Amino acid sequence: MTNFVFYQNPTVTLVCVPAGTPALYSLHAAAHLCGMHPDLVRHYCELGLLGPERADPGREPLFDDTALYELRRIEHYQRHYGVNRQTLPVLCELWREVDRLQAEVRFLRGP
Amino acid sequence: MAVKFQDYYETLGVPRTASADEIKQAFRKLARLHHPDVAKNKVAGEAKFKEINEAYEVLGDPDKRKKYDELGADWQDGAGHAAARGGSRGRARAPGGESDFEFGGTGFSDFFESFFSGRQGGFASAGGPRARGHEDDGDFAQPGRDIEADLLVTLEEAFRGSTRKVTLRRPGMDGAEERTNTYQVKIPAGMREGQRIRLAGQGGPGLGGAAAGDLYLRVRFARHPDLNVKDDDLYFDLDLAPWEAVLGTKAKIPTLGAPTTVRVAPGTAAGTQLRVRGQGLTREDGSRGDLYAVVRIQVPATVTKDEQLLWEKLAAASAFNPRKSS
Repeated sequence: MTNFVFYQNPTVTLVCVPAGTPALYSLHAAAHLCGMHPDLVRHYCELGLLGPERADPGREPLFDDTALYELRRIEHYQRHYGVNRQTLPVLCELWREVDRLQAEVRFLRGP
Repeated sequence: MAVKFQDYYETLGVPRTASADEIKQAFRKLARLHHPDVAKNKVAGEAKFKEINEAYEVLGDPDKRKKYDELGADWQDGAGHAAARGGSRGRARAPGGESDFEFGGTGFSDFFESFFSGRQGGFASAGGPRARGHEDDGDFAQPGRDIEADLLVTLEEAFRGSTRKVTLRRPGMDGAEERTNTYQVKIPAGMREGQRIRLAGQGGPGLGGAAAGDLYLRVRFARHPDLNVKDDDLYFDLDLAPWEAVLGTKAKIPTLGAPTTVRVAPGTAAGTQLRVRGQGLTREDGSRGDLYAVVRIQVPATVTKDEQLLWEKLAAASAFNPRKSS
């Protein structure tokens, strides 16, 4: 799914994101959008880098915008910071843990 | 770029010496008053609600408050701004630091974006298929960077879905004119804290014919004055008088829609969670989480003579011992 650009001049662009539910992409669409090979995306899923809900072996994985963001982040850290494949699961786990703890702190601090 | 200093203490109407509790109370009072669902003037109410939220986001967090207090003092001297800005990360920074993007309509002010936004800088992606093609040819091609910004979303917006206008001002590269892009962003119903909305190809421009990066908007929930979020469920602190907890009562509690009434059974202890089914956030499968009213027992700070006598009578008559085990 793409965004619709319906007005553009050199200084102003108005873009509308399609209505409805959050966008979901198939494995091939997600790989294409991230400039990766589908096998690599599948491999990342198998390593559990994208969260457990996308590693269910009996289900065709679907990717949302957040998953695309995560894929691109993984790729970026590999390319630019030399993070290797052994370290990736640790890094992803830490990112997730930080998110989880931040959410917990926010909740405990109350409204 | 000029960043307007915001006095968050003034926004919440509390002195700089206010305790954490006082800040929380002030926030809740103002948030109830200006909540978009309640405010008479919706537009002004929403703007004010977001302002209050931003202030509480900083002052309600001990670390951010400390940072802000140091910054505020510097600000008064008129010297701290540049230093603080140089020391902190720029806004919507891309590594490489050549560009300084400026967002509008995200619900956070420039000031917040510059000093407190927790997001990392954008990063260059692997690039789309176009970029790969160029790399294969051996040409120099660098895909554009992804840009990220936080989007302050109220619980009601996340629940019902909403449309927001977000602007992004891009600096002119290589002498080009700067440009402002306006995005009509649809926030789908059911968004959660931390989820991202991707605007394809709206990130930094690619070099050498490579694809542009994406623009990601990260959802941050605005603090609701009464409701707290945990996964799919909402939590509400239900304050009861001691006799209400003992004798049972009915209490009105807020939800994301119309308020509802819960029945408090006689002998309800503090900490008891009363579940209201299906009044939480929408799950992925379309069902809804629950709303929990968590019982807290409040005690009157002062009592009249008559009340005092009644409590004494109760104390004499009751065989209840809350510390049985000790």
